[in-house]
Amino acid sequence: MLWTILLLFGLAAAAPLVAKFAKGASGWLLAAGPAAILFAYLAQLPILPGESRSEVWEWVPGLGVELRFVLDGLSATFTLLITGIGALVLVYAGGYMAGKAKLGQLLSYLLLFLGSMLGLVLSDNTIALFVFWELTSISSYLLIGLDHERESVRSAALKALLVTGGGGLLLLGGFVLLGIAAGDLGLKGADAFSISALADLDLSAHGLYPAIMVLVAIGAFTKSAQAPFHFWLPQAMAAPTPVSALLHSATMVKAGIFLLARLHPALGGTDLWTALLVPVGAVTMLGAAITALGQRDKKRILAYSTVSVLGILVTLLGAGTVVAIEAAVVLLVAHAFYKAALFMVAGNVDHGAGTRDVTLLSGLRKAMPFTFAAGAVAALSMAGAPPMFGFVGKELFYGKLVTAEARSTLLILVAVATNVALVAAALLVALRPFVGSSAGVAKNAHEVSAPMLVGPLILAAAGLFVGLFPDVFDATLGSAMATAIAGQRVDMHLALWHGLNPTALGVMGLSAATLVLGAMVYHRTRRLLAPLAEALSRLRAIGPETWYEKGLAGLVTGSDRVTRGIQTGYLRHYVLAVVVAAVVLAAPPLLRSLPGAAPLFPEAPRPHEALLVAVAAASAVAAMVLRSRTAAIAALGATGAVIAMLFLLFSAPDLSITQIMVETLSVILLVLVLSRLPRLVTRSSRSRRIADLAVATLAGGTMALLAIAATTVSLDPEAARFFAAASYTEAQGRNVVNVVLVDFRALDTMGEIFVVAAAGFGIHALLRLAPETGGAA
Amino acid sequence: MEIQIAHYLVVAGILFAVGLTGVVVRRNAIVILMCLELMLNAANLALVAFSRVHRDMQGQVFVFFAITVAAAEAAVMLAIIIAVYRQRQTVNVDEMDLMQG
Amino acid sequence: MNAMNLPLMLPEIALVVLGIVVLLADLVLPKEKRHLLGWWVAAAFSAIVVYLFVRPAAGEPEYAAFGLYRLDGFAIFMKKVFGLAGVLVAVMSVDWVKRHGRAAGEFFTIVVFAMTGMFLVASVNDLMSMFVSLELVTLSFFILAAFRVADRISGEAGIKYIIVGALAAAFMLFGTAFIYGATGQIRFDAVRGAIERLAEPAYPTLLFGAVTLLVGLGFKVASVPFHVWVPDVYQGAPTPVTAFLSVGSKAAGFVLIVRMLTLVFGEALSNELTPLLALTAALTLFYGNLAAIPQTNIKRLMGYSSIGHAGYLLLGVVAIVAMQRGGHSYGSGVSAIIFYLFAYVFTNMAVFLGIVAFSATAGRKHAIDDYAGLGKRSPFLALTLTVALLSLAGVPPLAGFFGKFYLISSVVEASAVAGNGWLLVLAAIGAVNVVVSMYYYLCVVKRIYMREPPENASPILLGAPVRVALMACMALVVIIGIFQGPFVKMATAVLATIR
Repeated sequence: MLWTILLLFGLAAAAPLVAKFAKGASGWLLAAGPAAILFAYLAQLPILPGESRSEVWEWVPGLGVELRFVLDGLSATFTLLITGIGALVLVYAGGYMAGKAKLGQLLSYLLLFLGSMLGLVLSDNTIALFVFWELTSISSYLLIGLDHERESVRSAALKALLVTGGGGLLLLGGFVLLGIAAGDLGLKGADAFSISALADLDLSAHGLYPAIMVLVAIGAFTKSAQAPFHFWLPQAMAAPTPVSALLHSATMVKAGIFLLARLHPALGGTDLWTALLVPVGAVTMLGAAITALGQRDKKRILAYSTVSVLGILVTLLGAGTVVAIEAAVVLLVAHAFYKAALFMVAGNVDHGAGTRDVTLLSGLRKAMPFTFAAGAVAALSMAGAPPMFGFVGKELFYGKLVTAEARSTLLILVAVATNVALVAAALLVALRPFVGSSAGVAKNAHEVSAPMLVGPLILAAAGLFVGLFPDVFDATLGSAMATAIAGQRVDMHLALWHGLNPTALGVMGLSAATLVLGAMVYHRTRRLLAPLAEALSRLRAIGPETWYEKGLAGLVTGSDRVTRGIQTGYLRHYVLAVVVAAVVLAAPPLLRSLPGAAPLFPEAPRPHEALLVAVAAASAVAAMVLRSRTAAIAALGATGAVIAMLFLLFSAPDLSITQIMVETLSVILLVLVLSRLPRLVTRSSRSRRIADLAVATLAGGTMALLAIAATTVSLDPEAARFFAAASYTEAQGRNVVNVVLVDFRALDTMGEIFVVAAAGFGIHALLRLAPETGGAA
Repeated sequence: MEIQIAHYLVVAGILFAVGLTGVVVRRNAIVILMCLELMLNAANLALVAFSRVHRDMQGQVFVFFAITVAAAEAAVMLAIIIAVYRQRQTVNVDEMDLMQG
Repeated sequence: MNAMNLPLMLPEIALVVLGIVVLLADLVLPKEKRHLLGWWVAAAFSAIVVYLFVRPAAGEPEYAAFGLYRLDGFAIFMKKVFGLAGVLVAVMSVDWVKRHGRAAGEFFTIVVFAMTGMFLVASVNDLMSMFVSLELVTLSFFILAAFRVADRISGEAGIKYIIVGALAAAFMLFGTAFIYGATGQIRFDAVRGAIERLAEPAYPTLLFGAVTLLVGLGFKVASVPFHVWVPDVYQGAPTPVTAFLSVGSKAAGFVLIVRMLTLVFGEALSNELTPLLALTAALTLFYGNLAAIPQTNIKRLMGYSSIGHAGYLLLGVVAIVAMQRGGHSYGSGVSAIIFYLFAYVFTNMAVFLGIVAFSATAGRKHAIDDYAGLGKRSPFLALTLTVALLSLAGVPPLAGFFGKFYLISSVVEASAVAGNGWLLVLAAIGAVNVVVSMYYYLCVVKRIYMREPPENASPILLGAPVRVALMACMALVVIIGIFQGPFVKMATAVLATIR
């Protein structure tokens, strides 16, 4: 299975070259790749319920990340949809972008996207799944941003990436926690990250389960555009080419649904699962379906209807019963067919008539007969009219609601309302542009080229075929898919006609009512449009999209403000930050260990010590505060001299001599340099200086107290004796003499020589490179 | 006789604190340099005092190296200060704010 | 342990010789050919790296210079990293020195000195050697950062760098003094031994020394709040120096932090240091990534990004300290740091190679807006920059993503092992910052691909060596991400020699 993914990535790399040489034929040429993969997987059919074929490649040893691919009913269905629709999209793109400079780029991104998507659905390892997940986000960012000349496109691309990519990271967090939980429950190594191994565990009892569930759900919601994370999708679909829009609706947003389906056996079946998924799905399906009716742009209508269907799927998966899962399976496949076909139809209409505004379009049936035919068939499926596959799906959906143990009238009402809106939306996109007067835009409209017709016609026909012969689907794939989702054996028996029993009659009644109501709503759309659109625009102002935009803007301005506050450019602030932080860091642990401190001065200092201490402190303070340059240098020299004397007291005469020499030298150097430099003037205001001094003294004083405290605590006579004793044994008897020690220090001496040499050469270079200007040395 | 080093550590602490305060408060790069010297001196004093407590020569040897490194550092700093002064006619660090944010 | 054992120090000796050769050659070569010394340096660094790769792998740690010098797998690994970074820096310097520098000989000599310092840092086994070799690195960087003193910004960068740097050195020395005071020892193993036998009253002294020393090291790795020098110095220093700094100073600092924690402090300070380091890591992550957002200068952006990456590396450090408590194996933190550093070096170098090459044609303003339409001006450069930036942002399956993943996982593991729930919060902060950082890296990518180049923009010309270097970096960024087996094994092998 790895080869199929690599083949797509390889083709993605080759696409720009292919487009350069094959030009118009490149769509057909590159489509051969996914088509070949489609047939390779078709050859694997039928897949029986419970059957799975896997393949393992080592990837990240030690972390439990491996490329483990599994082909079962669920992944096989997705694989076929991705490669099949992908091949048609490539052909379509070849026609849509024929002769445009960006064709190669577009085909390359499409293939990259297809490869990532394929990897995602085949992965059995959570981490590998996440990697492919983020790759789909990236490639969709590239696809959305293809028409980057417009600002709206650029912000839509970034929005899509930040929302889905961010959701992806939460998902990763969930996966990591999942790995920990699985580890606790006995799975080791790569098994802890293997989805198929997880299914056997009782994860819901684990303490981390709620956290895992929430993180995974948010990941799925962002990707599948569930409320309140749905806002990135309509914009991402309205802005760019219909090609990428179509790919998103048919595949990308299904990734979240796929994830929920995949993890249902491991995580599903709990109250939390249902409580998270059903309300979110229900709100999304109704809200998006109504919003769809308020749009004028065909692509936006389709985008919102996609969000609505995704909501239905989330609701069904959330319910998690066998009937619900069967309904989800059928709806998912049906939706992939009709939505892809409708997006292509929308693109054709745009291409042929020059607009996608449904209020302007009418009477295209003569100019664009094939497009009309494909659109009409697909729209029937979307509306859930017999004998389409969409009808089968909707029947199951209603069936699930009617037969549920805890039947919820509210949910049934929501579902019916949603489907009514979807029916109206279907008529709006597939009927409205083609019927009516052909006086307006239809006059100059023309049918599109063959590559752009192949896709919609095949997809519409596929929807019709599966609708007429649903048993073919459930025998080869459907039952296996439902089994994989349910985690238990499911045998589906799909049919258009369920006979005459009370349940079937109830469901049929609902279906009929939906169709009639939908047609009525469609009939009145013109009057419904205006107030709906207005209400929605008001809703948008408090909706999540506004939060996103405000949040992003706040992040940018906020970080700007913080940065300017901290990184002022003034060295004094930098130094202050370092000092205060050092004190703050050092204080707490030390203060905690302070109780029981020994008295600060066990003995009074001897007079000469006291004197030296006083002189050192006084001259240091003087060096710091004196305005006069020479006096400051003299004070510094005095401090150095006192320290040299202290060294002498510690019987370190050679050190003392070194100190005096270095100190003398630096005093001379400083005097020389200072005489060439301007007087020490202070330009800052008095109050600021006092404030600085206060903070600095506080920090410096605390630092000194900490240092003193640290030693007075430890160096009471007891400890000192201990050290003395320890150092004898540690250093094997009395210490070797200074000279020998220096000999042992060859390495440091070498380092030292380098330090001095670097300083020497550096000073030479710096002074040579600095421009000579007046008054300089 | 027990060695009394507490006083010397007090001196080290005070010198370090004074140097620290100076680095924060003063604006003249040269004076800041001098204050940094004070801080390094404080560290050296602490090393020698500890070396005495442990009756161990390594601490003193350390100070040799520290003094040299400090001197090299001071020299380079002076060179940079001079180079910048030639360029901008100032050694006031408050005027060095071309980069911020 | 008690022998000079010179052959072990062959790379350092080679560097000494190289430094002298460069100096002498500078005297002999005619002025207009001196920038070619860069190729000599690159060749010599490459030779040393090749030697490090072919020399028999270290099993048990070996010692030289009477125990001051420790050569183990970690040291060899870091030397390889430093050496490879040095090769890339030399490659990008040649052109720069030719255009700007009059003192080519001094420039490359100091680069060699800095490299010597880094090699020593990787191998030090003693507090005193640590101070001296780290100062060698920093002092060289002070000079290099100010190297274009004719430029106002470079001089300002030099002054800010050296003052804050000297302050950090003072902290380090003060801290070292107190560690010595608490233990009476300066060789790492002896200090460790003394700590294990440490009497209760000496604990505050040790703790004070350790915290103060870590403050000094925090400056080298650019952790908040000791990062203040980073943005200004990154922006103001000559670009090849910034590149060198971004890897050299940071990696050297982290080597020493890991050494101090694993070889010296051990379990003793775990309780106290864990919250301190965790807090620092969180602040560093947030500040580095948030402050990068409003930047308009690409070098300054990289400065903040480097602070953010210090935050990620600190996650590994936190994992180490947290797991040391109770004597647990802290391996995952160390190997995560090793893997991350390896990936970071090449990614970062790729970005700086790109910046140097771009500014050679497009001017030295380094405004991010200048990169608009780079995709059209140089598709190759645009691609390499994009791959590198995406890897820095942590986009899978590039090297940077797995680096961050390992680091965050190590914190999660530490949280489980040490029973510290706060560490999970820290891991979450790490994950949140991935999203934040994605925003500003993508803003650069967006300009590269989604904006039109300015009118009359010329194509960007790339020299063959730069092209090769860029290609190698990009290949590594992708390969480290996708074929991890060998690299993870490498990190594990290094880990085995570290204790």
